Amino acid sequence: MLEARGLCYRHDPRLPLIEDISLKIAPGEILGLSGPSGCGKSTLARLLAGYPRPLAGQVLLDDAPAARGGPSPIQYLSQSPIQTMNPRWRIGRIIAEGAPPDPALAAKLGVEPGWTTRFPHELSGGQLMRVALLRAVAISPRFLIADEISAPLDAVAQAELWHVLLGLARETGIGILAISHDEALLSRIATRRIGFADRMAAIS
Amino acid sequence: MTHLLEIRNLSLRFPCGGMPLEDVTLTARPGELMAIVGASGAGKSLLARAVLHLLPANARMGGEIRLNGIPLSPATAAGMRGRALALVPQSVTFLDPLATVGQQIRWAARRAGLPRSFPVDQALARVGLPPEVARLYPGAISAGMARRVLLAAALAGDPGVVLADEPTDGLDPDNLRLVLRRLRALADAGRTVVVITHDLVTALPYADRVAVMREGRILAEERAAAFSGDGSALLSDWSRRLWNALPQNAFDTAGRSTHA
Repeated sequence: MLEARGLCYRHDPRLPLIEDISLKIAPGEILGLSGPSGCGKSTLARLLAGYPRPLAGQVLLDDAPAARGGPSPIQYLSQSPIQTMNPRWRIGRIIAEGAPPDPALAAKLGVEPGWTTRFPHELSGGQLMRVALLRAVAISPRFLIADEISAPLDAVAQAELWHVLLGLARETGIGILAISHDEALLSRIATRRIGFADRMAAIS
Repeated sequence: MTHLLEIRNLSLRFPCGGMPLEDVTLTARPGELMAIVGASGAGKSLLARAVLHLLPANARMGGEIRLNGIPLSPATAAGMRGRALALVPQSVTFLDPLATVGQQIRWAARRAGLPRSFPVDQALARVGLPPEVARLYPGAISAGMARRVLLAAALAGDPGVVLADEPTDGLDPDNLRLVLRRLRALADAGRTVVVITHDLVTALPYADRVAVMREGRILAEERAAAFSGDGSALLSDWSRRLWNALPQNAFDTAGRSTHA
């Protein structure tokens, strides 16, 4: 179980962005999160993955604070994957950063062997998203925080990617927080949904 | 003036490789809104920039672009930008952070040869922005407002051909409809409108035709109305696969695509 308890965060001291937000994601669950631009979705996602520390509240993995150091069991997938990659590393090294990936999984995600010798700027946004996803699932994480991951993909690639993730959730019990503006997509993939109408501070 | 835009066998190469265009042929007609849809990296923005000859100096371009039958060269395109031919750029970083919104719309109007008395407030009103926005700097407005300022600036000179690159990205549903309705109204008034988008579903109600782009090529040109039901009226297999893969349709992958 991944649990956020009373999270608070603000980028601007005068403007609370996330105020006392609590939520739980169970193994195998796909929680759909939607809300308007700027309401704090990505900030909440990064808090869950342990990037910034919350100003108050905590993130618990199986009732204990998530351990730091080493590949995190809570993997964050950014909506701009190129910003999460070392531009001087080739794709092969990037994918294997946490653990060597399973070739069968690479094939399922549509990551082609020929990409491994290329650099991030030589792949398209959609290709980089598949690379980032393979890197994240290679370490067998418990939870995936998927921040608009299919936005740069066409509909066919989006459906393929989500079918793979839904399969992983079913078979390995990965829990997923799926953040998207696409209502139709969330109603298709999510087992449970939460939505924010305004800044997360305003509705708590 | 009929505003007919023809792209013939357009190809693009960069010395370092890059993401080229290959043999793109398209005709955008007056009174029509054509949507060019494709995933990120398909070459959509590059195509728009190629039409306006706004490419890096090391780009090698082949083929031809004609406006009303006249081939566009870098020099003629430069003279037409903002007048006969306007681009609504994708990135809001195209706004100058050091000039007010009103100033930038006045610049656009001046470039299009309009008098100094150009009514900035009316240009803002047509994209749903209040006149006070004219006094603000780009840093003080939201991304959605900035996108509409770019649209207002591009439309200042009443161009015959408008290419809008992802004009709805980051807009909330109300503003998204406002922008697309504005572009549709331009087409209905006899202008040629090309909307570049990754979001087929959003553009569909406003489009007459849809060009499906992938990896630098136009894979299909479809009537917008053919994207309905089970997609059996669509001409190409890829269009049908795209349509059926949408979450609001079958969410079906029907075979493999190995590219993003």
